[in-house]
Amino acid sequence: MTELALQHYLGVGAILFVIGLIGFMTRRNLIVMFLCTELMFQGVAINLIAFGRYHQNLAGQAFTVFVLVIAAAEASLALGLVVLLFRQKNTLDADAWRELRG
Amino acid sequence: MHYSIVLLLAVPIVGAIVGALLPNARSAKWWALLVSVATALVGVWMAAQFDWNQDLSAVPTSDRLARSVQIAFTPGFDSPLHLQAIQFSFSLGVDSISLWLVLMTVLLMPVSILASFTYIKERQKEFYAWMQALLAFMLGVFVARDLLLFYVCFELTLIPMFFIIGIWGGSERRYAAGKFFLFTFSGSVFTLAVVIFLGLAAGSFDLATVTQYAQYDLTDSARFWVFMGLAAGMAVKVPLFPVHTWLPLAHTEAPTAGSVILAGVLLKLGAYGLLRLAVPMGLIGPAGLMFPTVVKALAVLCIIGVIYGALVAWVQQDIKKLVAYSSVSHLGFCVLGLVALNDYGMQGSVLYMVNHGLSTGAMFLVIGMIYERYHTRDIHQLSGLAKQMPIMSFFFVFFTLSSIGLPGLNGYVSEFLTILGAFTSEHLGIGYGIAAAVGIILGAIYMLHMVARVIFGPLKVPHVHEEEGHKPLSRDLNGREITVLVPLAIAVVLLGVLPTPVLNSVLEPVRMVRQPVTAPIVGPTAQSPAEVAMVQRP
Amino acid sequence: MNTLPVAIGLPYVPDWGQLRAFAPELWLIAAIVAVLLTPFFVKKPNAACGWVALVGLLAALVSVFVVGVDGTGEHFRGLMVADPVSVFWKGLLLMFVIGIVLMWFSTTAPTMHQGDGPEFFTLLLGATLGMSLMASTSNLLMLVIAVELASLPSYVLAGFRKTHLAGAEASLKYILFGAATSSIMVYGLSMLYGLYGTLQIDGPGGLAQQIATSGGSALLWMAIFSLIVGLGFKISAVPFHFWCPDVFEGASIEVSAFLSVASKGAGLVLLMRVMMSFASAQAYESTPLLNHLAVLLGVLGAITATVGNTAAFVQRNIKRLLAYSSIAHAGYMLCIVSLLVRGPAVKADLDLASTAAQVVLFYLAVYLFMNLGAFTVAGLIERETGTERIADYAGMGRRSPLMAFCLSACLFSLVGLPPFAGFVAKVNVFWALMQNGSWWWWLVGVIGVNTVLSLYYYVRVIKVMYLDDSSSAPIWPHPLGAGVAVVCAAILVFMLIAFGPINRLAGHYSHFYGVDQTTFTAEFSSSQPPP
Repeated sequence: MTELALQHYLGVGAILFVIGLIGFMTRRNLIVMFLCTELMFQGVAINLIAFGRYHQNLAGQAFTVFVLVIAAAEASLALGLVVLLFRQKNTLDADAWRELRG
Repeated sequence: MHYSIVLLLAVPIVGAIVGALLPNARSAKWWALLVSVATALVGVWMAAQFDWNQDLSAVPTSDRLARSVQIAFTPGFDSPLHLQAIQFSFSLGVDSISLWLVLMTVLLMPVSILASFTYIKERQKEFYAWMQALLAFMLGVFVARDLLLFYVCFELTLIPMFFIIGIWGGSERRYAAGKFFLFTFSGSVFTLAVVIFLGLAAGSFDLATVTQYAQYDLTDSARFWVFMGLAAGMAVKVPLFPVHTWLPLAHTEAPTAGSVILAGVLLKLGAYGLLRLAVPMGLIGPAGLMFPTVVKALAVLCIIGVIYGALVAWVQQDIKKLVAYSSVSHLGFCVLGLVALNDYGMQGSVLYMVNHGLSTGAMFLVIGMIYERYHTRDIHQLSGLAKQMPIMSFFFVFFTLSSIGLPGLNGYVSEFLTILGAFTSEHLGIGYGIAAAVGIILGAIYMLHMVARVIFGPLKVPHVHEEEGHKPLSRDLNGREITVLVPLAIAVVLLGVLPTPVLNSVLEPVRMVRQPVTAPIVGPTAQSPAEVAMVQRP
Repeated sequence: MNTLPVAIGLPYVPDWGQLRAFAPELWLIAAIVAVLLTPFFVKKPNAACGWVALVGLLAALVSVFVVGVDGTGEHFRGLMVADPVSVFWKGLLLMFVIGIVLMWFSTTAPTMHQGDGPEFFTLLLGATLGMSLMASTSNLLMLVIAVELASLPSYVLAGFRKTHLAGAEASLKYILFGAATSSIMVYGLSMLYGLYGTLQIDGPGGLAQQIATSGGSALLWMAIFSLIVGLGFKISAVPFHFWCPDVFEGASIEVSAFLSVASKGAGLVLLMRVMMSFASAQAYESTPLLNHLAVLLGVLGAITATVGNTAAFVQRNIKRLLAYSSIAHAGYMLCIVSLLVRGPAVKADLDLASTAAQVVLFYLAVYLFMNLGAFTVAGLIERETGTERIADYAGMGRRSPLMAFCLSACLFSLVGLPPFAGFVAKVNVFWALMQNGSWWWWLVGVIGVNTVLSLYYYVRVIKVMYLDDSSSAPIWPHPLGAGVAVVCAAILVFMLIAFGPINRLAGHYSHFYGVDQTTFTAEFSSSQPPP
């Protein structure tokens, strides 16, 4: 077994981020889209912690705490909005909302 | 201190603001007339202060450009833009070229306001307020001695004119107003870029400083683009041939007063800009003329404009449109004289600006008077008006002849001089002169064609339904309308028999336009005033 | 196995001087608390909350004037900085939000559901707080917090009209784009942290200096791109602008107005601060990094302006039209930021960069009043007639001469025509862009063409108002809103006449802390201009 090095953590972070990004762009279900942005934030968090450990300072961990808080705030907002929207149209398809164009 | 020049701008601006606040339309009318007459008096006062016999040859060459401005005003406080070292100042001044154009403007404005008394029937307060604002901005262009101020006033004329055409114009007024605005603005954006570039590079917007900088410190390619940028804005305004298409529409759709001011003054802003900015800053280098090819190209555009305008005017059914196209043709002469870049041509060009303002302005006034009576301008519906309206017919024929260039009236001298300029110019030559002369013949044809149809022949007028609530106008011109036309007619005759004062007074300024600023003022075809006078007498 | 060093000590307590520098923010926080408490004392809290918020904003504005640039320096262990730029921006922002609250009174207030007021003003003040913090951050962590603090309330504000389907859709689009771009931005920032081991942007050992000494790498570019994505979203730079027109149309009008200036302005000021740190750290060594960055921003700005102006051509709705116009104006300002980045490479000192900052600040000051005036008139007309369609503005010159005049003034100013301050702003833009020299003239050309394009759609609105006839009844706008519109129009004229002093003021305040220090201290010790 080789020891886990920085790049392994970064790899996991990057994979999470990219999965999130691709999912965000391709899926049309509102909840899945928001989950994907959460996934991106988690990738960032892993990145930050790994770098914090690598640089031997606490800035990365402190940053992570805030990133998690921000992600949570965004998610709660988003889910509240999804409930509101679902009540109006009874669907979770993002393409159902296209009143505004031009 | 020369307060006259400050008053010249302050009177109409204050007048516009007060006029917009007046309680009713009747007072607004008379107020506008009063203000415009007061402005005219200020203009006359300014002319009285002016030293017409100024001799610049005693002034050191480097200082000459600044000294040529006699009545000047620069306020004591400065307001630098503070982007590094850019200096913008509210400085005003006139030399003899500006002064003649100022005099023409202040003459045209009261008559066009007086002519609108019955023509404009709705939203009168607004109309007269816009007219006064327009007067201030136009005068601002002529008296600005600061490049940025020049540009600001140049642009500002658009807004009142846009509303004048758009609100009080004919049936297609919206389209005409929009097209007018878009065309002129598109051109002048490039002018703005060049203005800022020159201000940035020269470290000042003062006209004399910028001119000197442009002539001595620009590289050739930079100078070329400076000329192109400046000429872009001015050519649209003049208008020269390919960008003239806004003009016939705007002239036709505008109310009478709007057409008069548009043809009489706004077009001159373009020609004046070419004379004041584009030529000295873009064409003249330390060794004199830099781009003979560009000048030739410009002259060719003018010739095309002359011929094309005349041919298109010939086939018009609408007499107002006919006169509008004749403006395209006439302004071609004006710019042709300008780019001839010799004494005859440029003197003629300045005189042409004044003359065209007077005679075409008067044509539009007369056509407006016909339209007010018969509500048509169709050449097929009007005929033989001489029988019904002898006084009107007299003025119509009179101004037509002035416009054609009958010897003894004003048009003749300037047309003759511009063509002579083209003939004798170093870089143009006989071909250009001949082509322009063809334009004169065509001009006589289409104008006389119109007179023959409209004034003479069997009487034919459309039946007119009387409008409710308005007193019908008298059959022939009434006292007010005669008052409108008489001053113009007097000016036409005066400039026809006595053009020498104008020509002599602008001789030095036009030489300074076409020569590098530090060169001694000697024309290649130097001539004494007596010689000039001899040449011009028919 | 290494152990992490753990700092043990007394909790950090900021001293009075540090707090004083952030008095405006503290006032905003106090106002938020007061707004939340208001419903306990007042039965119908909407209007009361409005007044409380107004008082809080006024107090914050006064504190901006009182504190001024005294608090200049690095505060809270480098998390935040206070400097002339941030003071200038906070002054503008607070003035603007006061205008927005007044606008709310005259447009949305009567129709807002009783009891929603406290939430609305909490969110509005919270977003304002975030936007004023955005101007004061020099630390990546604080940057993210400030951006999110500005964004999260904005998402809710956009969909605040709960029964309004379009509002919900606007909010949805806004939050989708926002969440994605902010996660991309944070990912990039984590890369910056990983590369250099610090979150501090400026100062010794900060990111900017380390980048200057160690040069660029692929990862660095990725990080910079992602930062531009995040801020580009706030600025609504193309291609991150899609939210803008939808949100402006869906949100109620005072929210649209708020986002049009405050969100974009805060993003630009933050972008300028970051770029200024980069540029100053690399001053005197013309590096390819700065040139590439300048090209990137210049191209982005040019595309943004062009897309904004061309898309505005076909708009029928006044709010959408103003949205695209705001995109275009953001593009102009982005172009200037490119000069800010390139400045040191052109002239080997920070003069040009300062000029660029000055131009952007002046532009923002003018833009604020143009947009506030235009949106206020649109809101008043919407309230009286219930329409946002431009075609329904027909005959407005007769139906409400004052409103038509104010809107025309703002629109002419947006084109950049004299006699309005927009002209000076445009002249400044041209002026600044020409300093770039060489082949950067293309940018001048692009802005010139864009100005002509923009003329068309702005004048179309004026044409409809004055030249089209309509038999609709005259309308009498709410006096408060009419007052706001008239003041805006008057200020636009005034700023043209008094552009010298105001421009100078922007010049005085165009200095960043930690950058260009010598000029900054010299200028402020010699003459302290009134804020």
